[in-house]
Amino acid sequence: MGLALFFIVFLGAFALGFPIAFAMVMGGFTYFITAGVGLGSFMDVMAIELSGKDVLMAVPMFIFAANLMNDTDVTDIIFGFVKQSMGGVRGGLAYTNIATSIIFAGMSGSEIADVSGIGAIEIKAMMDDGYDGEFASAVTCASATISPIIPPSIPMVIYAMLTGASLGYLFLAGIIPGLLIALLEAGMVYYLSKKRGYPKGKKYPFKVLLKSFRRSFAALLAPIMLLVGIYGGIFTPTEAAAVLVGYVLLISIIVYKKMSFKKFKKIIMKTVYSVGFISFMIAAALIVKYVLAREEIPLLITNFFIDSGMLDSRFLLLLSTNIMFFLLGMFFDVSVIQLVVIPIMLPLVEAVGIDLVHFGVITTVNLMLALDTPPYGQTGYITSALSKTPVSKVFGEMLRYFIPIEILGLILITYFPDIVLWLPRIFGYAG
Amino acid sequence: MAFLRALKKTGRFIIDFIEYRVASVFLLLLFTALFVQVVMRYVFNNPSPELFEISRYSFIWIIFLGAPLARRFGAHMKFNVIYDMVSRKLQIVFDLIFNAFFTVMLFVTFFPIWDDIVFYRMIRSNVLKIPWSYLLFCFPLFLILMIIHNLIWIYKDTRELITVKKSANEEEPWD
Repeated sequence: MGLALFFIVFLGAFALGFPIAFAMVMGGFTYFITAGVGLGSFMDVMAIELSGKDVLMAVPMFIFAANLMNDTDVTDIIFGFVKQSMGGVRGGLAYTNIATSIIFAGMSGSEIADVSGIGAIEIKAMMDDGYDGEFASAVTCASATISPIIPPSIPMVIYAMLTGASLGYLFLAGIIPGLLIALLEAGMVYYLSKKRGYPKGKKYPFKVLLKSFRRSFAALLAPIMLLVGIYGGIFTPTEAAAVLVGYVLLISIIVYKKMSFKKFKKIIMKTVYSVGFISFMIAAALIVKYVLAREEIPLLITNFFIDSGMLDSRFLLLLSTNIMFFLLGMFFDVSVIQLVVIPIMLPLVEAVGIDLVHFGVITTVNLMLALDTPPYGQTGYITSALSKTPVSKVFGEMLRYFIPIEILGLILITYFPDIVLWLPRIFGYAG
Repeated sequence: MAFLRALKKTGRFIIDFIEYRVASVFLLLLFTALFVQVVMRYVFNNPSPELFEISRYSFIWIIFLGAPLARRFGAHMKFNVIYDMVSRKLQIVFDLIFNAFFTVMLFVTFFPIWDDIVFYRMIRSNVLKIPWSYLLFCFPLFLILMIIHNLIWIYKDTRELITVKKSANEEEPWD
């Protein structure tokens, strides 16, 4: 009875447009009342339990770092350098878009931060250069997918918190899959640029390139510093987020001289605001997790799969998991799927013996892909607004060209675990 | 009337102070604690449990003060597919029903939470020995702020439903 009411209230409020986090809390409230759980449990689960999830402290710091980079033109400087480097190549700005996202991915952990921050610069530059709106938007959406796959990554932080998988190894595991997807996207850009005759960028002399490299050097150093810091044992992935904030703050003041007290206040305000709805969703999802665990739902589902014999085939389980995540991603927010579905799937994944780091990368790639698909694909809506192109055209371009390429990447990552686990193993991962 | 205006102004000042200033201080505290911890461990080989505790509690304060701020500006994520298909009038009705339910829920939850907060005066944190009631005070504060913002949303929606005039949105928090 309690569980049924929980789902009715949660899904009802969710489906009718009430904020998702509040729908979760309201469902939990109904459950607590009907199941006789004290309402004080709200604080126990949402605040006390949350304060024990140390790895989550990285989330506000990554948001802070992304806001700092976007508001102090650090992203602009990186984009400028990559753009000049790609001069003379047909479709150069589209490659620039992908390459900039790879660099940005090394400093930010969020696809939305990529699209709404650097995406605005990329789309404007591409449209000014004669690219059509739907292509500029689609490339921006596709390249932003890389952002949370290459470390650092907010979805990986949440996954590590939920499963106990090593965040350090998860970050490492994301590098090659991220680069693989970037390569596949670049292949598609090559094909479309030739087919549609997109413009060649202006070629810059070596002297200009060198000057631009010198100017962007401090910003380009950030992802390298992060990787060396984490895997050199200097700081933990959580602390890395704070070091990144400190570094970006420092270069924006000393090197680029783009920081003022007023701007800093604005960035802090923006960060608190974003943390308010991103991290609160995690706190609210802990209520859902609590209800599901109390009703032993993960155990029931695992037993069901064991009885049905589906666990005998790892291939089938991975395939059905991927299809399920992809379909869910078309309708639900990434963090909701992660926070609600992964705790249910976890015993199943462990029962079949799928490596948790491998599974973490699969789910991250899959969910990022979902952000590009209609009807819920947030990146499509953001880029459509930025390029003033109808959202249907943006999604059309995505579905025709870039989603199939990303699905190919996902299949490779799913069925060739060495692509994911090779790098972590070099650094001592035993999985 | 003048009294009401003064009350509104004072209320807004207090809410702004808590949601903007206090939350910002905790964000800076979290950043500083994590950053200095790296220096303490790597340079001085002496990790500080105090800094760890500061970062842990700053983190939850940011969330529970940031969530009402995001509520105030309607920033919490929604699933809009069905919502966008219905008329504006029906949207307001949905919002009113859920906001009313949510507000009642927050109100009912406040009292047992407050009892727990009073009880937690007896428990102290491991390192800094600060009573838990202070460290977790962000939670009842969150409930109060959410109730206030929800009531404002209910007022705005009701007015729109009656007069068909949409209330102006507040300026973004950083403007």
